[in-house]
Amino acid sequence: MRREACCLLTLLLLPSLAAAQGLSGPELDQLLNAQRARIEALTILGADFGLANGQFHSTGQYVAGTGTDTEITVSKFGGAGDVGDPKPLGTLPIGWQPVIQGSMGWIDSTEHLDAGLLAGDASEFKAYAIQFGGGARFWLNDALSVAPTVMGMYGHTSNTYDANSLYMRENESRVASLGLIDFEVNTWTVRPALDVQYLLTLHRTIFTLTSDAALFDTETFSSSNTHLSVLGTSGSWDNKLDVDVPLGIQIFGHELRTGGYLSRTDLYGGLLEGLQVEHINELHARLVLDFLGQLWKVQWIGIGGSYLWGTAITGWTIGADVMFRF
Amino acid sequence: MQVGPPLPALAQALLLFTILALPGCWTPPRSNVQPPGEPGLIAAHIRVRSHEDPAVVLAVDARSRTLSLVDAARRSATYPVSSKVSGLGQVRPGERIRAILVDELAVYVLDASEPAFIAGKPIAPDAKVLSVDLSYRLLNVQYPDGAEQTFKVGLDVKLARMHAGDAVVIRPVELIALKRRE
Repeated sequence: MRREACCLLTLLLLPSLAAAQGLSGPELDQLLNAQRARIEALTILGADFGLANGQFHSTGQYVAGTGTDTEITVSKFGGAGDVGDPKPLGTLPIGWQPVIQGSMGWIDSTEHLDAGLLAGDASEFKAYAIQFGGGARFWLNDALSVAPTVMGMYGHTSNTYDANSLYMRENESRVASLGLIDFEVNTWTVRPALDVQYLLTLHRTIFTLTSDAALFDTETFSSSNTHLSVLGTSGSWDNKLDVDVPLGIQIFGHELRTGGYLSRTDLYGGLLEGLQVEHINELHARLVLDFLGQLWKVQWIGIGGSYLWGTAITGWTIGADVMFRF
Repeated sequence: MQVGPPLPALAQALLLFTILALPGCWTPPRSNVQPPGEPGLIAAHIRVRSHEDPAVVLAVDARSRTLSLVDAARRSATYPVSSKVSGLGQVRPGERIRAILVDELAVYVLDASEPAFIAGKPIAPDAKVLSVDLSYRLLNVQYPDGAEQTFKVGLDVKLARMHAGDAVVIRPVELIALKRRE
């Protein structure tokens, strides 16, 4: 399991580096880079509408005899939508429609260190972020469309270290002054992306294949510690098959629909380094009532749940499933 | 640092995209086309609801409980008012209201080159079908002035038999809710 490796490794390195030889440039850079990737990854995971939300859990044995339990809670509200019906693009045989995207989210990640010199300590990251942007969807035929988009994102990440071990009780202020713990960072991110979508309707069932590649360029614009600044690039590539099935059953004047999706999201760059997760799979199921054409801009309202798994991560989410159509 | 998908995967994705893009081009939906099928009635007595906000009151007859309205697209019709609707006596001509209306649709295949008669009866279409969403049971119609309206139809309606260009006759049935705008 590599998920928390860099963060735990960071903290495990502290005693030997700090106590035995002191933190010099390369070692400090190595430790700070791990925290930078962590900040970048948590900010993106915390708000990006393309990445899953939910309750995640990770355990690991990274260095001989050491381990950690990490609980991550991600809460988000947002999504992406095409506005109106496609219109002709000049005289070309291509249709287009505006796309708007937005999301806001909150993430809380607590790592419980349960072995070694830091046993009993806990490191908590909290981040909140908001993103907004848009673009256009271009229809090449009735089924295939591509949507290039650009978004901007603001993020605020803080770390609080709960020092219970003897070593960290004695050294917490020194480690904090180096920018490794107990910090606050404000970041901004530019997110260009390309979404390719293919729609297939069989009888009344809609199959949607989506491939969405996104790039995240993140920089710091303020930090509580001069040693700590973020300048990183991340990527994600999400491939999804969604099925939307009408059941032909009417409840309270609305047709019952079911469906769900199976997706795989591959992570690159800072996201991969900061989370130590190569990919996340998601299996989602929903049971909803159709409101399209009956309630303004609402496509469906119901409940949904997901199970998520991947390299060194498992998670789940359940809650209201609401889809809007603009 | 690798920040993008690996090249072979990109090449495969590009190939798949090209294959999917091959069949046909995108064309906007059009209602001024000859629909398939022999001239005749496809479906009648299709009850639909529509929300009109705002609608302008043209005339009120409190005794016969009828209300004549003109909607935002300047189409006018007279509706019997449901007995459940109160306050009809306070509504004045020229007033802007919110209304929920029930209409009845009949959908026909008509031959554009022939006079519109079905079973010896003249047919005067109010609109034409622009598009049909089978999954979400949406019938999108276009009026002669270009305005569009989408109706949600019941599970019993045979939407699969309807196509762009079919003629739609709309008969006002009842006004079931009314709210006077401030």
